[in-house]
Amino acid sequence: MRPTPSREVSLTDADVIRVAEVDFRYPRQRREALSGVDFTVTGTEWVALLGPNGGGKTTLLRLLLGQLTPRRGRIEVLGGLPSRTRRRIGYVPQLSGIDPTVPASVLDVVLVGRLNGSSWGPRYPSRDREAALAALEETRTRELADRAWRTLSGGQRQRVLIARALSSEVDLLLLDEPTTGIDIHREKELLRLLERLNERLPIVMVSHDTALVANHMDRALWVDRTVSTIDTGDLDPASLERMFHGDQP
Amino acid sequence: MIRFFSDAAVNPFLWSGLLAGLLASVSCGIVGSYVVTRRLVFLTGALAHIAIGGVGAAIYLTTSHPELFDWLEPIHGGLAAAIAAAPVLAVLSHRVRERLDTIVGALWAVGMSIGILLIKLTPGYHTELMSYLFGNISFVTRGDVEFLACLSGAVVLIAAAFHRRFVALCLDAEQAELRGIPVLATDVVLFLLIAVTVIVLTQIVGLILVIALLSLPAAIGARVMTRLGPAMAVAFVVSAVATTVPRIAVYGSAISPEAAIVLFTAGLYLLVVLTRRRVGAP
Repeated sequence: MRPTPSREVSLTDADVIRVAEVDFRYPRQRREALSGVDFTVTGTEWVALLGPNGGGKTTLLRLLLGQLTPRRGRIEVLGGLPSRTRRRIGYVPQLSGIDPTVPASVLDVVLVGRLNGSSWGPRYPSRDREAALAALEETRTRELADRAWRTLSGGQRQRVLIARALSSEVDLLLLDEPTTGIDIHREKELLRLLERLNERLPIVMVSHDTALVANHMDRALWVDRTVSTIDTGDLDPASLERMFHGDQP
Repeated sequence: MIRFFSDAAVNPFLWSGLLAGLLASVSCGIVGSYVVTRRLVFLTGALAHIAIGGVGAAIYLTTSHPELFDWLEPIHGGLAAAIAAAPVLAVLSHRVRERLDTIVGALWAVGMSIGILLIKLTPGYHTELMSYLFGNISFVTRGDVEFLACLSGAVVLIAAAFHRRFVALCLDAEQAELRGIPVLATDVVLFLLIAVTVIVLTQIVGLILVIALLSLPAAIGARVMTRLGPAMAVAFVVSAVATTVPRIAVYGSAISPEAAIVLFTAGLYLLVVLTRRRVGAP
């Protein structure tokens, strides 16, 4: 089964993400990292970004976050340019950039999600602390609030990072391989959490886990220098597996 | 030790030295914790050595043009050089992805070489450079203490205003940027703070040994505490003890008090590493 290029872009008010004719090339590189990218995400879709290593998945996430600017084309996230709307986007990175030797509690980590341009002074106001604790509650990690970050397991860290993303009252979640490095039991817990969050939030998630994509997500985008749409309802894990091994667009 | 207290009754320099150590410990605890958690120890070493270029320039100017630069102290030159270098190093740490250590190492060596060159060009023999390289805690004047108090006060005020932003940078600079914090500008402020602290600590242990006081007490704090605020408090206490106890203990002996301060702090760090696991480590 082969994915079809997603050229038919219908733009409506319910679009959470609109990407139209986007090209992106890194400085001092000859080839485009992404070329002719078109797709939309609407409502509370749960969309997977699939594709080979180096295919441009993380680049696409960085474009959606406004950390990179396209050479051509237009990206709108939550109704505006990503650089203007990214404070409404909750981002969970692939590997936590948090140095495990840093002396910080779990609450300290989540509170970073409450930062904004007017955050001055040594302490967070009580409303920020309450919002951070509510986000921990939502990810069922409230009891970890006072624990040292360095004591957490991989699965706990991912849930806390999702809490950090939620703490700023976001309207969209972007996750970069959140299940990497966690055991199957913790992965199931994480997926249940994401399913609950997906009832109210659209989620775009990079994943290499083909079974997870086929079983849980509404749609997948195959990212390999360009983007094609795959309806996961038509797919089984075996066909996705074949695509990773060369049978790709 | 007894001799220290009997001499201190008649020699105000001894009390000034202790007071200077306590004042410097404030900046050391706060800024050192940022330096260690943000992994800026190497860049801080470069700032300290670039400051030597400024010290050399100040000595050269005051000697060769005394009519114009009579007011200029070597530490002013060091402060100016460190403050000028801070934004450059901050920008380099953001913009240069490869070979940052090579470039910083080159700036480190060039700054120090300029200082030595200017001292050599300055007529006469100058002991000032040696005292700035290795410190001279035995001759801290009342004016030095006042200067230290002002710089330490500025460090505390700036750190208090920026603390949440600095902590966010230490934890996860990418998230801080996504939350709307101007990361480069915040790092420039942090590097300026480090530059001022380097000069504060120069009065105590000298530019060569400053890196020890900025990293070891904070490393002890980070090891025994699980939050940055308490880790800063531990770093302050360790610095205060380290600038006081060895200083009194070696008084009257041939041992350099500045070297004793650093060796005492290093010994304490080694003891903490050997005797207790990192608090909270799995």
